Amino acid sequence: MSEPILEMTDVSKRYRTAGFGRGRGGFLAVDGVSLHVGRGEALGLVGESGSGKSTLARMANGLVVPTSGTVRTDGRDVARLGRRGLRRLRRNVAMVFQDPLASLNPRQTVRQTLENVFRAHGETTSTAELVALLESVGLGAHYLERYPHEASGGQLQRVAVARALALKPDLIIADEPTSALDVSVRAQILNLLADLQRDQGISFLHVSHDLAVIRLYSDRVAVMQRGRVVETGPSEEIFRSPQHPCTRALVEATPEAELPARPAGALRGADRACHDRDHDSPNDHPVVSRPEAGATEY
Amino acid sequence: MSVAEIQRAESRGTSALRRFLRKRSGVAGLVMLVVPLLAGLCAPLLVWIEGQDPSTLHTELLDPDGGRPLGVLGGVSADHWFGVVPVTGVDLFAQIVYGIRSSLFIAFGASILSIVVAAVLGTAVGYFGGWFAAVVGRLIDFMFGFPGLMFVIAIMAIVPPEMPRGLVLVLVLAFFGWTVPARIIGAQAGAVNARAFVEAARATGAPPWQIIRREMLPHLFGLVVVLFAMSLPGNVSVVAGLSFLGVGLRGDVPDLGKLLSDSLPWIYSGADVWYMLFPGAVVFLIVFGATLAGDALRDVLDVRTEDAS
Repeated sequence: MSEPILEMTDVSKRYRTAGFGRGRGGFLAVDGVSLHVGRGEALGLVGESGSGKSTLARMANGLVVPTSGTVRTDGRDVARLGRRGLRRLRRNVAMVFQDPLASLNPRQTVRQTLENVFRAHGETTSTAELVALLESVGLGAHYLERYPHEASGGQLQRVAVARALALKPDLIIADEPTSALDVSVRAQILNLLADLQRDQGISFLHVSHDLAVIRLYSDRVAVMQRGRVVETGPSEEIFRSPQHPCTRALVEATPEAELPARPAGALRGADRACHDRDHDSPNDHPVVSRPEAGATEY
Repeated sequence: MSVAEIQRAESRGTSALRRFLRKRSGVAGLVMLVVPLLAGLCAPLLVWIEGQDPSTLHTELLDPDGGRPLGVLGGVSADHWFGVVPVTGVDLFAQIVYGIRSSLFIAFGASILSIVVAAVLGTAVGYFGGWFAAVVGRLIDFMFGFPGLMFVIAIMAIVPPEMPRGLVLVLVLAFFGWTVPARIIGAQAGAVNARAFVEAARATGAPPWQIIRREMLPHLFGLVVVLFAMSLPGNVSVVAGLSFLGVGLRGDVPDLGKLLSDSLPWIYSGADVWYMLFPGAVVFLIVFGATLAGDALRDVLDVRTEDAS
């Protein structure tokens, strides 16, 4: 097996907090995480709000610089890349954000937004290419001249995906790409992303708090809690037999989940195991890591 | 693309102007600002039409006893539209339109320069943040602690006579005028820099200049225009005030503040109230007009369509 597209080794991120007293040591958003995304693979990163999954995802393209640990993306150590190297890296690692209305500049037409991606790397593009790009995400050519306020959330997220695809990336970081969308269009966007993975061999780091989404569209899952990865494994397996209490809570919170009967109050306890950041008592449950079928551990 | 869509795209650009024109106070303010401005621009032409010039002494129009202008309204006539200046008999209209020229252009120059400095520094503060923002912030704090007006008066009092006083005024006023706009623009630029579409642009590998030019500046432009419009009336009054205090332009250059200053004894004695009324009205018109126009512009441009959606 070739080198993974993304490999994180023992990365941590500590945010310094302002002021004195409580929390002076800073806030540890990511705490010693190691994970990898193989070429052509879709890794789902799930966890509650504030579990550090977005911070972790942003380390892959250098938007967040880890306090310690190494991030190798596309075979390159992100920390060692200069400003130019980082820009070159971002050709290969695109990103789709949560809220398309926020992540698209309201004063730019779709055409300008897409053209700026090429401009960033000193390239020019033709209208025909842009139209083809839009068509690849299922949008008509007439969207080119539209402003974000003239399109729906689902259409805008397609534009955001088109922007990510513009430079033919090898890896796409999707940070909660459907959370801000209407339920009715979520599946469309997820199917679009799944098609890209299947047809173009693009790898995905798919961040979500919704395990049901991850289950359907990721090959493997990493569950995060309080800045740590507490369980990893193939999606179906994680879903079928969650080991860690946090994973259990997430699985149980999924409406479609078919679970074995559980004692009353189990959900509440598991829920607390997943949420409570303020309690200093660490969750003693061991980290669950499963070997994957046919895959090497890095 | 359909015709309707093209029109909609175009209407976005002009909608701010249209909304401004719908505001009566803004249009009234603009007229109050533009009429004196045009009068200043066309000063030689207007004075030529009047048939006068700003320096000829018309002593025959003055009361030999005390030097006050003869006739009503300070000597207003078909030949002298605003009457004449007491003691010297110089045409007041000519003095005023030439005075607008110097006063208003110095104020414009100072406002433009200070806002340009503020826009550059403010945008840089918003984009880079960190220690750069801290240094600029402390510098602005330091400038706030400075008694600016005192300093301006002191500097203008010691400027060597061979230096162009108008240019010095522009530089000195801009030196003290950039701080407040820079702080406001810096805060706004920081807010824009934190928005998701800027992060998205960064994630595509856009270089810093492209992010500033394409993503941030379009969101700061309205603010910059408003801050310029709002700094204008202040500078007009300060320029007039400095001349009033005798530290403005040279004695032989017509200037609104100097006219006001010269007219003071005539108001106190009640001998010629019109001498102050005409230049005073012009200064009032410009300051009031610029304030109204600035406020209307702020109302129009602050309404962000994207934030409403």
